Amino acid sequence: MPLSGPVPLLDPVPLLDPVPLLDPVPLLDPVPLLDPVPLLDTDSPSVDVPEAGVRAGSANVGPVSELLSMLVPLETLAGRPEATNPTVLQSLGLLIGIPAVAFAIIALLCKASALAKAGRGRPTPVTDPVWLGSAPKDQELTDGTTAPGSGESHTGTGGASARW
Amino acid sequence: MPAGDAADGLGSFSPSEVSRIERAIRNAETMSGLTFSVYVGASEEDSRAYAARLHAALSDPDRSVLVMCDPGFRALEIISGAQAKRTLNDMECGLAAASMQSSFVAGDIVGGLVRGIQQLGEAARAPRTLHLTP
Repeated sequence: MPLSGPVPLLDPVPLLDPVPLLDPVPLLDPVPLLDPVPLLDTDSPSVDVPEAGVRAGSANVGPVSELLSMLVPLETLAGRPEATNPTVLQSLGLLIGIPAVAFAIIALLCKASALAKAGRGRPTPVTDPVWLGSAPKDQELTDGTTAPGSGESHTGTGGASARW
Repeated sequence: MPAGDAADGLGSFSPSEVSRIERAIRNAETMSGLTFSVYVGASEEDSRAYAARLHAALSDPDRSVLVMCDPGFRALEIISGAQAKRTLNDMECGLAAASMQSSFVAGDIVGGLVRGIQQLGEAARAPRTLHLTP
């Protein structure tokens, strides 16, 4: 059959009819949360809950308690009188004063030998001639006014020379 | 001239330093039987000749040992007399001079003199003999 003439297009058929969306159904109904149950009853007299900065049987300590606790035990044994908090001055003396004194002592010990030798090695300024031991009879030999001996030296002498 | 007179009024050495050098001189003289003299002061350009003339002016130059130290010229001379040379040869003088030199380099004039004089005295120590002298 010859193809002639326009073929009428079919009416578009909707593939799917728009289905109205269902109302969202909640998967799970919100369950009301239970009231928080305290793990430990602080009101109970049988359980002792330590609070921040408080220890059983000890006094309240300040913000330096953690640092001080590394050096000084803060807990008081049972039956002993309650420990008193160290003052700021005591804390400073313990943490700064004693190390500073120890450092000063060690530094002084290290420097002691150097201080002892400080004056020993200094060059001695020699301004005038010095004779020690037996000296020549004529002291004018070395006072700078006359030349010593004018060339009369003993023959057959020995010795050594050095310069530094 | 005694050492104390030499030190008086000079002020170059402290009394303790003078005492140290004098003690070393006495020990060296006791050990060796020689006479030791120490001169610390300025010399000439030819320090060896100057020291030789100083040595010749000593009272008993043949038995004397002169140690001359010139801190200005940085010169050290050791002169031993003809008789002293028999027990204190030049090599021993050279060793003592090297010992003193090392101390002088460090600026320790007195310590170098003390050590050198002690070394010279020990080197010139007369050997002990078991032979009886007639």
